[in-house]
Amino acid sequence: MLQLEDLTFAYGSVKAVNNVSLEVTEGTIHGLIGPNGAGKSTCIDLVSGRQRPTSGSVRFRGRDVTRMTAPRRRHLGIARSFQRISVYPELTVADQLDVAAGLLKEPDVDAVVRALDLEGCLRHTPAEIGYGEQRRVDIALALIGSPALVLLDEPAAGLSREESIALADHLAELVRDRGTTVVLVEHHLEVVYRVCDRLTVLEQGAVIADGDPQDVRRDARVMEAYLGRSAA
Amino acid sequence: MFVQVLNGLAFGVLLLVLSSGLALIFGLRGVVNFAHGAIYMLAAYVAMAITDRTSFWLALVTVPVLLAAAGLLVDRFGLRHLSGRSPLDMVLLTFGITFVVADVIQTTWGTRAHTIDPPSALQGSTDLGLATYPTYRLFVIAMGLLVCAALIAWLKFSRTGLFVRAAGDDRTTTGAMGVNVDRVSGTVVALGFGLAGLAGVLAGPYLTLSPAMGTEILITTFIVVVVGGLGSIGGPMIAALLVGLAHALATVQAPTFSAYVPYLLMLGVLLVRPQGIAGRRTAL
Repeated sequence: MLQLEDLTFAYGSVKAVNNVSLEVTEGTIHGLIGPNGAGKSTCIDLVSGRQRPTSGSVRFRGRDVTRMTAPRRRHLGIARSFQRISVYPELTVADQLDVAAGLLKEPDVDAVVRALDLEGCLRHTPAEIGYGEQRRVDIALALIGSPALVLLDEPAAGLSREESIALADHLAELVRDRGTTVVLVEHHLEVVYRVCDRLTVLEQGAVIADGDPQDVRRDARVMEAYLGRSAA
Repeated sequence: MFVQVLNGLAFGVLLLVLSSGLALIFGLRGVVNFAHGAIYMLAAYVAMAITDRTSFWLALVTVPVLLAAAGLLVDRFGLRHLSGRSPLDMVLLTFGITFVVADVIQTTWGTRAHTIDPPSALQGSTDLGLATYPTYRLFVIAMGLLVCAALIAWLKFSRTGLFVRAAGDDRTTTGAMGVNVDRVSGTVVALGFGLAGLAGVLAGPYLTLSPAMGTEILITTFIVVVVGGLGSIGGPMIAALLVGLAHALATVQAPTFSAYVPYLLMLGVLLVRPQGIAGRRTAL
């Protein structure tokens, strides 16, 4: 469904993403992990159209979308969440969902609201709802319109272990019910192993491992670069 | 006193129409539009030319539309290409427009002052019970308040208005949600230019036309936007009426100091609330 081919993004002389190639299969949850500064969020930016790569290409369902704008990619079926919450401090949750529904042909707002249990906070602004609800609003904004591919950037950031696990299970159930493909950037490794079908590990902008989560977990380079430190 | 309040309202709604456009453009494009005063002035002169040849009413309808179209072109071929670059580039562009417009006006209409007669239906005075008041100024007040109400309704209840509010908060996220933010910004710049055009046409039969009128009102409009708060639309609306009223009352009560009143008001508000009445951001 999604192919990144030799994708590179440089800030001046620093390569935030360095020759990354990976393939995401339709209907799977594909984890993208790595230490801070590994280039995970930049990869999400490049796929969603927020940034343009220095070189390489992004193909979505066989179509080259590398130079396509973010709004066009959203209409094509690539949606994303953001690490930031409360991006619209003065809009109610209902207004925010209306922005996301915007010009989409089949916005399915009600279904997303029910699925993420957001009925109680529709009339409230972000400051008036809990942190967990704000996180769910962030995910809801990405799920509206049933996009084929959803890029989730640290959806469990700031949540407790219990909340993260609950969110992960909820997410897995939701995307499987809807047949959505997910690229999940997440620091909570328990969440990653719980829901991901495949895992790609980045370090300093480059792929150091890619494959089945259990195999990746045992990869010596990964253990040394990332998981080993974390597990310890 | 009653007449002074009405005078303040009449000047205040002109500032309100102007500052709303300026604040909207800042919110969406992040640019302080230095051309706003020049667009207002151009509208007044073009309205004079149309009124001389046909009628004021035709000018009232066509000039804001023409300037809105000009705003669309400025955004499409100017501001859009400069977004993401240094704010100074945007400032240079809008300053450039100001110089070009000022030269065109001086070449076409000269440097002497001009006046426009109000349309016959709005000439003379109206008895309001407490006082009689020039009918045209009442028309300016009514038009200004009507435009303000329509603008608030558009922002609050229309889909495009929702996109404008969302993109004003966060352009990137709004774009990622599928909203064509450049198109929304183009609409807002066109609306801002159109509102400046409307203010210019309304000002024609009320104030004196001169090549300095754009700069004079632009400074007061900047004060209104700063007092109201950058990044807000409602704040400048309230500030416009406050500045208009304070200026009109000071003209009678303390004429020597009336020119300083907007600056003193700005100083007072910024000392108490540095972000302005309803502001969230800082300029540039």
